[in-house]
Amino acid sequence: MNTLLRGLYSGLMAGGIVGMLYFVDYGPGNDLHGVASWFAFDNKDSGRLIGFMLLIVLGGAFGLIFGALQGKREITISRAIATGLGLGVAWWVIFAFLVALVVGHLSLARLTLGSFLYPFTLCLVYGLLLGAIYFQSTVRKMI
Amino acid sequence: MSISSSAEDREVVTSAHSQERGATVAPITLSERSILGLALLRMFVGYLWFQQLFWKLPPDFKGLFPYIVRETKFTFIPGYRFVLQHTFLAGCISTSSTAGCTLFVPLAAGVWAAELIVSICLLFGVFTRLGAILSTVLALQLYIGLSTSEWYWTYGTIVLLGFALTTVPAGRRLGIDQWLAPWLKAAAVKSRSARWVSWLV
Repeated sequence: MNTLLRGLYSGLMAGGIVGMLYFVDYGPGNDLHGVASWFAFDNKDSGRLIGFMLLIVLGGAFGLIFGALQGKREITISRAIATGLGLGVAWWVIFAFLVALVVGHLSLARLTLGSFLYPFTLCLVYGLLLGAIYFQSTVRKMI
Repeated sequence: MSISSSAEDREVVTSAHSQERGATVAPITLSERSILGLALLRMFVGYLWFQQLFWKLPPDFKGLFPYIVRETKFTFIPGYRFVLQHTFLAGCISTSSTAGCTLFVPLAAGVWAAELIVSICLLFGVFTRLGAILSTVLALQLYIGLSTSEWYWTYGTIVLLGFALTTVPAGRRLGIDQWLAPWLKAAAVKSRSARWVSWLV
């Protein structure tokens, strides 16, 4: 498996797990509306499903970036985790903040500790999972 | 029918005993799938604690107040009510608001910070055992204060989940402990404090 495919697989898996975490919430899955609203896609009927699908699609896209960043270098666990967490922060900055601000009309005045902490932490969890799953897939290949 | 006490029979019995002893102390190795399953369990338990941060946010931690009041009514340990009334509820003039409370905010901040630490430890698999121990202690406190007010297994289950994660290195997969553990193990050869800290991953 080349690094891009491995990254795509890891990103889809990580996005799927974060999507499942979002589902185990009040509602259930009320906060998936928040993900859909980053792109102004939210609506009462299908906002949750759109949010869930977005997490998987974006997860796959960031996984591809992760794979591209690795190149042909041998990956170590520390680098995998650091790169993953870095991409998690990038996800938050680009989508949960900038895109949400411009496209989703997020108001800065509505940004509170709660509205920051929830998506930011889950973006970091995505990044950690991305790095850890990618690393794990290379270990299996060596065995 | 005879009861033999020959040396040969004794040898057979001794051998069986030693085999049995050997079987009971044989090390158990977790498969990759098992540890990945435990890592996912760890993340979901961490997420459980993480979600509970949002209904008692700083700076006033108001959401926690009614639960402390409930604990004074439903605790099953004599004296615990007295402790809560003289710490969290000291100075409070009403059971419906935090008005007049002198210690509520700093103590509630401690509870919130402890739950945040548990969330981070378990979600990210960093010092997982520390997070699991803290989670067990926090859940035990909830069990003592609130279990008789609801289906008591609600809190009992959270205690057991924390305890289960204390017993296994669940952060060694899908977690930062996977990187920390070998690093601390190497440092533990020279440093006693590293040996203690390595037990927490």
